[in-house]
Amino acid sequence: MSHFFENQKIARAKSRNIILVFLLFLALQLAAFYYLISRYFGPIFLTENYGEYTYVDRGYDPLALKFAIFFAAVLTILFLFKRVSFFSNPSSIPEAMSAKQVLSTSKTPEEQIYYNIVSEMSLASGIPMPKVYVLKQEQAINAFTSGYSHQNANIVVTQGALESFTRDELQAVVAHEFGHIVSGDVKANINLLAVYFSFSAVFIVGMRIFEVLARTGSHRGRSSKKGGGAGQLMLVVVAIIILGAVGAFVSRIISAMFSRQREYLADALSVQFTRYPAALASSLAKIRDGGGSILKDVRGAEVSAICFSSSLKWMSSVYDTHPPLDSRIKKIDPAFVKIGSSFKKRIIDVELKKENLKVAMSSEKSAQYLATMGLLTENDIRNAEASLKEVKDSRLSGYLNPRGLEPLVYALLLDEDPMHLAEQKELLFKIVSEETSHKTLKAFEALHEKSSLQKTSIVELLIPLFDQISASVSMRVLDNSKKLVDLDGEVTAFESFLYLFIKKYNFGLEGRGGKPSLADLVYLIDQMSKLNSGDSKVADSSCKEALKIYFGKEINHSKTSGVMEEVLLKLSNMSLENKERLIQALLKVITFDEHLNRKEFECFRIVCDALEVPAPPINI
Amino acid sequence: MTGVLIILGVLFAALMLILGIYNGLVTARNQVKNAFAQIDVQLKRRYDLIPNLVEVAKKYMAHEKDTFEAVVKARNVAISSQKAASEDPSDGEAVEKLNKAEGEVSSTLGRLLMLTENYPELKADSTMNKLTEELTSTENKVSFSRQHYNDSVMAYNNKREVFPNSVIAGMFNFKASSYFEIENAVEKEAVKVQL
Repeated sequence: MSHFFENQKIARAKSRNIILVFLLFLALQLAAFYYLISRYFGPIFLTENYGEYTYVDRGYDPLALKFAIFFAAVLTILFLFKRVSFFSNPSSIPEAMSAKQVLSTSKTPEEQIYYNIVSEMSLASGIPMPKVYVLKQEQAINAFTSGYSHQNANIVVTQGALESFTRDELQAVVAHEFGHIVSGDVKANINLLAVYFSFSAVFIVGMRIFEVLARTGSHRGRSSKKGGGAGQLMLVVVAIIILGAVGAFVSRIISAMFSRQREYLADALSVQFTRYPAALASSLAKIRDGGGSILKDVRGAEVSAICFSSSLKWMSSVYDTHPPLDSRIKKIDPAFVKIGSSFKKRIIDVELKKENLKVAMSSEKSAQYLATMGLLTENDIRNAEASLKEVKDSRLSGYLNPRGLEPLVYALLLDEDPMHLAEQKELLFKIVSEETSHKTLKAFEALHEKSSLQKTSIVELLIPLFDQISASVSMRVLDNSKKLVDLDGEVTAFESFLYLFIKKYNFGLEGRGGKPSLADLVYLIDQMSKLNSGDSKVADSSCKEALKIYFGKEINHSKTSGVMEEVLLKLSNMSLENKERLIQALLKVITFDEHLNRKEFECFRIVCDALEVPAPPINI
Repeated sequence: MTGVLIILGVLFAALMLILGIYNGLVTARNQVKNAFAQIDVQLKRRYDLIPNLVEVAKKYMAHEKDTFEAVVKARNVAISSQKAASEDPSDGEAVEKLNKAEGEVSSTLGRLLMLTENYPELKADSTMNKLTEELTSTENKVSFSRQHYNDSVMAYNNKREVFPNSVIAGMFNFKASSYFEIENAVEKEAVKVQL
């Protein structure tokens, strides 16, 4: 229970230390400047301006000191100037982003709930009610706060957040923003940002002066021989440029570090306010699992540090103002990471499928069919577990981790036909790194030895792994998978089935586009029949039989076309009876030649998955 | 001379320390009072909401008369004990009495909302939907303001009990504040509000 108080303490102490280190750095910066001037540039001036009266007599170098004080003063003035310009217009950020203000009189239910949540959190945190805004045009999931004191704070969430969060999740997110208000992070971040801008300004001005000096210096160098003064000034300017650049770089990194600690603090405060860590964790998981938090309209760095989740794409995690989502979730609710949301979803799916199966089983005919396939019994589950264990013990085990995920997915998509394989290999080396390509080929060899059941097990094992990699990596894997699949211009059914299966579980694409049309189903059955042995006559007659089963009459399937991805997405919208008939039809297709090959089997499973009906394991 | 100055200086420092601690304690105590006042406001909101809710629900659930009466009765008892408690929040007895009355309101309301489940037309009523969201929010607000009260009490009591604050607190009679605790077993179960 006191877990979050502990987390708050840690985050507060860490961020305080970061600030101390930063102040130390600023002091060192000035000391370095003094040292540079007095050691390298000072003496040159001294011999000209001070004659024999050197700084050694005084114990310090008056000229370098003057330079250092001047440098510090310039920085301070720049800092104050930047700060004033930031603070002068407190409510401008939401308005500049054309956010819509939400009032207590708001008519739409979701805005009403949002407003209520904000007032609840205002009570839980003991902070006066802030102004409430929503970014109507933003579909990304994010939220931020602005305003520099408890009295004039604003809370802003995106439309995407309103739509995708449950009440509890939205509450946790709003509480997180209140955490930022309570700990005064907006102010702190802006101060750090102002330091960064002052150093950048010093750097930029230094560069300008350097350019001017370089031009006039080269002029004078040609016209007269005496260019010493300008040369020395140039050296000082170079020192300023270096210090400006170093200062900007370091203050940027420090403020990112600071901001990351403040995120942990705001998370812990959010839990203090809601006392419901699971809601905060699941809201973060929603962003991780494909929601995305990158805003379209990024108003510079001003809001990035105070957003709920990263609003910008960063070049490197060193600059990121937010800790990785997984480590945030782990801190908030250590039990949560193990049961990632998509994993949870799968458990629910399985339950749902069992339910559907029961209904489907109620008709005698389908009972017969399914019985021949073997029902999902304790025994089957044990078998499946055994085969999983076998896979885990085999050479492939090295791939069943977040790092091995990428090559394994590609390996599953490689074709067994050597002609096609060569093309795919070529493409593979182009789109992914050499290391990944080699790993992929090794995995492909290892896959060769596996039975179809085991291959299916591998796919099952892959899915939860997607939870452990970042959204950008899983997008890349999907992108490349699509390229591999699309390579020969003719997408085979199996490829698109597998691709879709992975996509569906990662991005939760379900039930889109209404019910499948007649043409869609004919296309699906036709494609499935072509997985058969390759004998077009067999395929043709199996397809005819299947269509007869589904439609009750003969249907011409010579000219079919469709997009497998779209067809599969529509399948879950079918009525239960139609699903049952489709399964019967497809069973006819794949068992037509009394031989079940791997592709048939896996595709059948995937169709069942799209139908949200369980596919019983088959032992061949 | 210097000796006198040093003694004066030490005395001054001690006085400043005592002043600082005293002011800190007063601030913390006021925060507790303010947090308590917030609970009051939210409780009042709930009392105001109850007649509306009952009005709308009555239309559809004519034969649940007993439940309505229980809700309204519990509300009236709670209002009177709330008045007594808000006059002196540091009076433990009055606060406990209010806790009990509040528990009664929550449990009768919970029963009412549970019953609404049986009336599909009621669930489809848009006014009712709005009211249930309001009620969810109010229930949350009541519990969040209590939670904030408890957090403030914890901060205040911590401040009061550590050394050397405990000495000052004893001198100026800063009493310990009591937490909001739930007596009633029924109230320990959250009121389930279906939206």
